[in-house]
Amino acid sequence: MKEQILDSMDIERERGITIKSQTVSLPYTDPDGRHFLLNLIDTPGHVDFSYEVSRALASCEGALILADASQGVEAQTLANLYLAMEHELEILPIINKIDLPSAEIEWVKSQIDEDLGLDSDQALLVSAKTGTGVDKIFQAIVDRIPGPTVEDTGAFKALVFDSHYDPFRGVIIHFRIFEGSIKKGDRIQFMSNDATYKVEELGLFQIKRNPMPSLEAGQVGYFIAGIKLISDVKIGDTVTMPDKRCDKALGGFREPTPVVFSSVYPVASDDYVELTEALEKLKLNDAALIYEKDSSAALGFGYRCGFLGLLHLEVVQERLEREYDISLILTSPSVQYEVTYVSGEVKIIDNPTEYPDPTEIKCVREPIIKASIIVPDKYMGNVMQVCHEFRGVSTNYQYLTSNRMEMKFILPLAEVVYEFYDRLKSVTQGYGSFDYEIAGYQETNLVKLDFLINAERVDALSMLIHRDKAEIKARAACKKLREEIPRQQFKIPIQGAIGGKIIARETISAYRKDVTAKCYGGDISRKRKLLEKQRKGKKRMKMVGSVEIPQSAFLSVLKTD
Amino acid sequence: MIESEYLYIHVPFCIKKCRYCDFYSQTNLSLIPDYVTALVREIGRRSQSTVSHPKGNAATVYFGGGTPSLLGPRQLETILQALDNAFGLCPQTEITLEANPGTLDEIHLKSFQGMGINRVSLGFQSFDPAQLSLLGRIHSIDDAVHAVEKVRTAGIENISLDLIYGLPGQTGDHLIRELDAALVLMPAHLSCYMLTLEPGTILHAMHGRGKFLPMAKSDQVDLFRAAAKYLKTCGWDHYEVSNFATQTCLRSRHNRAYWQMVPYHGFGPAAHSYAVKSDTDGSAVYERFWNAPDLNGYINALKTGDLPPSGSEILTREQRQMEYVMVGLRTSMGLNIKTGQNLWQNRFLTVFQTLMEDLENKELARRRDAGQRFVLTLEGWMRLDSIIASFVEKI
Repeated sequence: MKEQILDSMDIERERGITIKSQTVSLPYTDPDGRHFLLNLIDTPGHVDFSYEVSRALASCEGALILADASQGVEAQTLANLYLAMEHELEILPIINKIDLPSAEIEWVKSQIDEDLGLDSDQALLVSAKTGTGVDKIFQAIVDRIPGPTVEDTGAFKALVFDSHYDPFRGVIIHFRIFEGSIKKGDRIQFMSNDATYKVEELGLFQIKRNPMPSLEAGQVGYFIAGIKLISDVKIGDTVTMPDKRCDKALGGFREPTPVVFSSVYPVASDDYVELTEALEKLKLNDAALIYEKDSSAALGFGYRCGFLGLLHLEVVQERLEREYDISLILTSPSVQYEVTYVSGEVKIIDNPTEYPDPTEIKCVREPIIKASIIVPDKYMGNVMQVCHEFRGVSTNYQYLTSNRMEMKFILPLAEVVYEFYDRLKSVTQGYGSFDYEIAGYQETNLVKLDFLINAERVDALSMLIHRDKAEIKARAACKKLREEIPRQQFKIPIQGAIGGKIIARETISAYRKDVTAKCYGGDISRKRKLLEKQRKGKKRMKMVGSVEIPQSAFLSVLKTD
Repeated sequence: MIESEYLYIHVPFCIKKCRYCDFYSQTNLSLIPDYVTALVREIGRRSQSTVSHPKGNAATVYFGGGTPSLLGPRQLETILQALDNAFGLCPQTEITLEANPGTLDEIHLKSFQGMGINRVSLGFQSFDPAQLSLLGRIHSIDDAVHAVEKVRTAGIENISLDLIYGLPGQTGDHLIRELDAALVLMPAHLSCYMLTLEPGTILHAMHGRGKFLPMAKSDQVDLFRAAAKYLKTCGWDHYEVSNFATQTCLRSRHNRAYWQMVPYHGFGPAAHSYAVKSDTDGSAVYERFWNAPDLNGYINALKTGDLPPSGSEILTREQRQMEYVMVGLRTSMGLNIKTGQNLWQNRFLTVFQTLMEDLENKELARRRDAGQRFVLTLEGWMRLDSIIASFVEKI
């Protein structure tokens, strides 16, 4: 048996995260011999994927909130708790990983009381790894979370909370029935567009799809109805039946909105067709991913893509590279700026190549976020400093307990999509947690930073950046490029520039001073393997003008802070 | 047919681990007797399995470590006896013993000489007490100087000294003083190593914690040039990046095997071997294999008559090409165009002509022996890693 059953993507397993919600229906018999069917939805925790959580919550009666026994309650936990409370769900706190030597159960209990405002006496102590306490969870669900309330109005009413694409069966709808029952052969109707389909198969998720003859109110499962495209289905839609039509649709969902934009190019230009197909397929399972055609003088044809955040971007990139075997170059991620022209025209711009000449600009505004950071108070100073580095303004802070505090900041979104989260984690030694919401626009001093390699501007390296940060970024990026671009037979200048003004410069000399001191019998294999590895990295190169630039060079610029 | 065999014995024992050293060794000396028994068994087993080679005279034996001089005369004799039985030693065999100047005994040395050890490599590293202590060495300057006398008194003339340079703050003048101090002792051979932070060493860990700030690479390379130039004016033969001999005939014959892709046998935990075998269809198979760096595993396996835990890889033609460039360019013999044409199936010049011309034009390389050898100049050696990389990129 695989260890992580519901996190089925390689990326999820490797990173130990959940990206895509998964559903499972569990039969349970309590000690009194009563039979139950428990429907669990495992949801992501990362802020990029909070829309997945909100969808799941709308289809549930209760929520299990898990806190790590050594890490404690995190800002995301708090954010998800608020979401669950909005839906008036019964909440069951669980302290997991109690087998860890670093577990501090009493400390986490106090957080559950004080931060979450829940009763820690009710918290279940569990180790999912060893199985300790897991049986108690089922009993607690049965005892404390109410069963579905079923109204019998004679109508059929169900909520679409997710969907996924199966190459053999088309779109598979994940739904929860609120009223009525449904069986194979029934005609269903979506309330948003009145489209009707005939149900071909329906059933429960029990690790795999388990077909059932019929489902009824209170149940969570799937149906297949010959729907060809994911875009034909709106998540959050209400399903009814033409002959048992319900009068009112259920409340829908917040549509996920992309906030980070980046262009994606294949390293090999002839992979463009494959990239197109791969994006189409990925989109079938990832409604939040948006893309449109883009082109670059340096890199040829590609796509401008919108993502929910940097994690989402990385996930899409990794899936394209792994599942579809396409080597990619991504341009520097950008947020959407609101540019007001001298002429009075206002445009939203997220692509540096579309950024106008500064003489045409009257003002630029950038999106900002309200951030909530929860930390032990001894890190307060560090957090302040990091937020200021990232152009944040402190708005409020409060003690949650005697030594834990919640700090609130207004931060430019553009800063947060870079390395803010990593920095925050490092200055708080992993104890800082972070959640945010988008909070409008504020004026900013934006410049377009270009990079020239061998005196040639490489448009795919350009980025939009705050003026105060441009020089540091330019220097760091030039240095990274110098390290990543292999020596050629001639000297190559690398320059960072704002308009015509060069603000950073490095040179790749033809041959660098460096010599391996020792190479004896036992060293040869290892040193050759290093050379092979180096060489492999350079195979993925893109010719820009007269210089070969490896994929790693493009990615290194993306990563420098 | 008599084939020359190159034999390496790894002796994985040290009184104390030096801070810069990444060779496999450990400090539990009580395992030495078991190790010697296991080693003798390994030599016996391995020579049986290479029966396709006619037994020939061993060209070289090299006791490396660790600290081989921690072995007693009887233990070394047992090992040499096993090697003689398996491969055949003769008076011309170059038998080198690496020794720590702090643990040399005159009577032992005399026996070493008597059993045929004719070359001693002394791990001096530095004549500066501050540097010795930073490197974590256990000997003093006096120990070092006396060690040379002792070796010579025992009748071993072929003495090599190891020096390390490029420690933080070292100046060119300081390095020249170090070299002078070594030259006064009149060694036959010098190995001068630029200090390198290898993963797994104490210095590497200290660097990670910010407790050790190494010298910038390009400054180290400048010291490399200073040392090379100075030794050249003193008449030394700079025959490999880090190795110098007073005369061509005093170059390390053993190490030459590594740099010329000649097969060698390595015995003992963590020892590497290179073998050219025949496939069933008669074609050559090039194999590198190595014993695991695991003394206990080694002793236990051989106790039951098994070969010790090991790894191996069969080299593709491409990999042999890379290795040839990687080791060949390190030496003053350079790349042999004929060998290259063979290894590249007559495409060597097609692939590298432009690159070689560019390097020659920049005076980073030149041709020798009527154009038959492509050799890096000192300026080229200073940029060896990136020159090798540019060759490898074309493979």
